[in-house]
Amino acid sequence: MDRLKILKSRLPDWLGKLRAQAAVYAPVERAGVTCFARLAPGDEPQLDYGNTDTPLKEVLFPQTECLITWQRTPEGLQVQEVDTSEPTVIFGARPCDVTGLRFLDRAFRLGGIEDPYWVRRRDKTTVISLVCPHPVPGCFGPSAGVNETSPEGADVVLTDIGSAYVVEVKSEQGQAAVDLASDAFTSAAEEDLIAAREAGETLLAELAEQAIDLEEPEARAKAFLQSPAWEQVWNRCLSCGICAFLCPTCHCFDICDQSCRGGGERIRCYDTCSSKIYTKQAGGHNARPTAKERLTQRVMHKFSYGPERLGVLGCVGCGRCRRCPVDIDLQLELSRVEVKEPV
Amino acid sequence: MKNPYLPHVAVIQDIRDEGPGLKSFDLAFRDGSVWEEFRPQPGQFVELSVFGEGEAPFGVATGAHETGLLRLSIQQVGRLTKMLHSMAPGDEVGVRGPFGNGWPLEAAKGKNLILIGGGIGMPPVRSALVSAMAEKDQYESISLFYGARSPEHITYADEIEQWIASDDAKINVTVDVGDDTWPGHVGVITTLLEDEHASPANAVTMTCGPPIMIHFVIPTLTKLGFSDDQIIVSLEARMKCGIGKCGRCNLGAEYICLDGPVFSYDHLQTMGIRL
Repeated sequence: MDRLKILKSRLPDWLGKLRAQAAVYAPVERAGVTCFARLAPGDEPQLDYGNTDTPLKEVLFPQTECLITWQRTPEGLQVQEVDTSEPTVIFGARPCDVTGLRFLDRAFRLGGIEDPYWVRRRDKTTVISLVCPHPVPGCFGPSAGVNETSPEGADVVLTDIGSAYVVEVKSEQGQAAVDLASDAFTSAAEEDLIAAREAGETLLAELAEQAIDLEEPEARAKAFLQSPAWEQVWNRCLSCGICAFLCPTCHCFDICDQSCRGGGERIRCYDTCSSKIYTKQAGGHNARPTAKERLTQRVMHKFSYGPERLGVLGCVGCGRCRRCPVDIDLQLELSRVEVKEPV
Repeated sequence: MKNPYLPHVAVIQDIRDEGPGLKSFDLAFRDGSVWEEFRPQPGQFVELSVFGEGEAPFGVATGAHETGLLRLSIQQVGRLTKMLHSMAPGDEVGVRGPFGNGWPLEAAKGKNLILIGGGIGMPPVRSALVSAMAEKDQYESISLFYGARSPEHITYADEIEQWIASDDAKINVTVDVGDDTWPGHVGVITTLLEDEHASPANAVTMTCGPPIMIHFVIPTLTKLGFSDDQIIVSLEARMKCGIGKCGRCNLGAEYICLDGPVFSYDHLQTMGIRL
């Protein structure tokens, strides 16, 4: 497929066409926080960003969402499902976050049982990824298997070459998104392709300096849980769950009811395996009573159980979990472990 | 797209006291045609909605041959169960499921089936017991080992009398603490298994009960000569979704709600799970 390019000055035209067809979510800064938000007419995305503070997953798996509603009527309870899915474009997502969708796609389709709320949204979503100009400090996408210049799961990939973006169309869905504003695109010239390739090479060279060793993730996770450093780590954990809420692949949730006026809503919201009450049962039994069991679950799910069950690593190297209030850096800890011969 | 989060509305038909803080609820789907596709297998569980309080998972007590009514026997321990215990016949609840794999009864045919239940783990054991007794000729023998906290805590007391009278299964009951009215065995379930000389010959055991009971039953069975693959246990967790998404019941690379709740002990051993 021919590579295209779009001048930055023509981007508003394309976004306008996309917005006429779909809800467009792009990075914006709000109250000092960069996140994906739905663009209203006239809104400009903020594309000169490092990475969003909150992960891309919240577009497709919101922090809270209503699953069903019920009403008490003279004929009895009426229960209805809620479907807020709509044609959606994700614009300008970083390759790590796009790769995170792959883990969630597999998790939400696990066992052949589809989570309709995820699947309906995901199937209506076109993902336009934007290659990072430079790495954010602390990110290590390639170490976690992320393709930083053409991520799996993207329909279109944009690479910044100064006054324009070189455009890689990766799917029919991506082609349809480009076709909406075909006059905004031109064929990329040889020099544009060279500029894009060089931008990618520069990025990968800079990322290589931030690389950490996550080879043999399962053996590494097990070795870490036997290492002296492990005691220091779990003893420090506050069980606050910030790492999970910021993680592009964490998908644990709680379901609870809210009643009002003869009816109500069933809501699901993010939950975390770090929480003390996450596995606590009404009778008092708790399968993971201390931070040690809970953080073990986190480490093993990311680096062993998840990869075994879903076929992909539960980490995409975005580095957001390094915002831990007590400076727990699991990936860095894991990278420092000496991995013995796999048993 | 079929929505596994959407509960079927069910109407409480009957409520029976089963002991202190324990009631059995017989539920019928408001839309009677739901039962045909629902048909819980012994050992499966459902997510029960008490609208306004939420959902919680409960093992089904209904046997495979008992059609039309879903029986759940529920201890009052938390908010949802408190609300449920205040409900009356005619009240409506929601039911999702059935979820999980259920007891491997087919594989147990031709063998001595040993069912072990403790406390509120008894409902799924009942589902296996009455299902097996309905096809008793297909088993070498059927026996139940049941441990309750005290005589008044014995669940399904009336039915147990009938089961004993029917002679379809060997019924052994023990209580942790006896009283003047109790003529039977006293002691925790492991003492009952030892005193009755539960035998591993051509046998398979299926156990459901609180974690602490399973923790002690497994070494007792091992001591009695049962191999790990003759020990089948049903596990529980605070499952919210029932379909392997919410994460609570993750056990190694598996999910209790999807791959269980019934596991063979040798499989759990290969996963490195200790009970």
